[in-house]
Amino acid sequence: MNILPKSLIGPYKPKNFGKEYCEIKGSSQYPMFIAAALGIKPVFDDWIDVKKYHAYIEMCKKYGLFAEPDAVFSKTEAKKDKVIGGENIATTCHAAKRFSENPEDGEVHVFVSKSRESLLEAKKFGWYPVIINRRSLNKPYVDNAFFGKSLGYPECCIDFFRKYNNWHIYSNPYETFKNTLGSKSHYCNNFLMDKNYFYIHHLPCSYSCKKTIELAKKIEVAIKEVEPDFVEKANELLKKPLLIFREQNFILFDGIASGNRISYTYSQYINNPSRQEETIGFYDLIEQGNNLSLEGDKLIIRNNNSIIKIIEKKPFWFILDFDQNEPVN
Amino acid sequence: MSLLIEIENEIGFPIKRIESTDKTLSPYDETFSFKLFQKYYRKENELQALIEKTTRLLFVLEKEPNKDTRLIAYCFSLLGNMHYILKDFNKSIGCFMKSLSYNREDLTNWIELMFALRAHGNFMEFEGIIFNLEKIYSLWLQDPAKELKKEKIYELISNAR
Repeated sequence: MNILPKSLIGPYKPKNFGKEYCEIKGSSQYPMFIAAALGIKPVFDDWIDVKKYHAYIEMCKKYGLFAEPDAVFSKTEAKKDKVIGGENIATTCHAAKRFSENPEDGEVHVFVSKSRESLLEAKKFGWYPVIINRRSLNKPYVDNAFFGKSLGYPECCIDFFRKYNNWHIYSNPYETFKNTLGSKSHYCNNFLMDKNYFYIHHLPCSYSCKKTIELAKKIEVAIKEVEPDFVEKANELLKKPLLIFREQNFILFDGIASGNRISYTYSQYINNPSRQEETIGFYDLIEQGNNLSLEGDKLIIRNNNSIIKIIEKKPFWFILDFDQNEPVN
Repeated sequence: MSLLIEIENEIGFPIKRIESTDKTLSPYDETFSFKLFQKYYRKENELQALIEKTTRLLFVLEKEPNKDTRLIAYCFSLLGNMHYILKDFNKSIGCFMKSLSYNREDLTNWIELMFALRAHGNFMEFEGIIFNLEKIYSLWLQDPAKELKKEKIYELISNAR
């Protein structure tokens, strides 16, 4: 039974750098803010409560950053199956309003950069499929590549994304896993993106991608200079084993992975709020246990040696253990 | 028409696509955008050659006495998608406007045009269309103008508000 921390990945409270940012926005995108403010990341995009927008702009100025608003995302009661094109919504099941109409609630999608030119270039291709008048529209597919470039993602990862980021056919993380040779680096751990502790905000082409490691290390070194405690905490979390179901649908374990097994004292399930249909229905059983294994087409949950439940495993579920043992599926 | 077949063989999909209207309840047909991206991303020379072929085909199709306006519209849309991948958004916008002039019934043309406008940096025009898509679609269906020009786009956006 899990009795320890309520959340493994709670918010980060800066001690030195970017305190104002976290006061306005919280820490979910904090490392990307630092990377942009220090000029390592050319652009990042963020979501800000409309009521805090002006404070956010002022804060950006202090750090030498420009910000450019896009649409305002707001919560919607609309069911995805009632929305035309709703099946294409992967991460942004929100309704959109015009920023220029000064809506009273919602979150403004903003692009942030030290360069006004880079900012506008990113905005051109940075539309997300949100719901407008019961319709959700995908941007042209090539925009994903253009947008990735403007955000500073490695070309190899952009090209991999082109091939495999099709939620109808592939599980992108599983394709990344299959494309990984040798040891898996925690610098390529993208699972905690938007969850406070991460260095990369893209889907890597492999968990040993050299370009990704290079980029992540650059960000790590820069953050260490201004906020060393963050790096310590991030490195600890990014090395923890994961059981991956899909992108943004996984369990983070406080424990040890060994081969096809994870032994744990605590876990945290992260699911994708925009794809509730993919939420697993057995997490409470994992919470009741202290170890699990993937064996053939089965996920076996145990408490010590006693089996709690045997679950039919989907082919694309896998264990990921960074910097230690080979992952298995 | 052998040029049409040659192009279709090269791109690997038929130029005729499933049209959408403001009443269609399924997502719009993204074949052109998806398949061209898969096949021609970072293959500028191949894409340039394909653009030349498609331009030649359109030259022939537009001169025919009994024009197949739907086919011409699909070809302009295809060409617009090709220019888009090469980041030539000005040409892309021109193609989608032509496509809308030949076929007002396919909502996909408006979607392609608005994203090309955004990619060109025309953010206000993009918002003007995406937030009033169905209204603009129906206004253009009824509009007496023979061809969609830039001024007409502004007029439709203004009237749709």
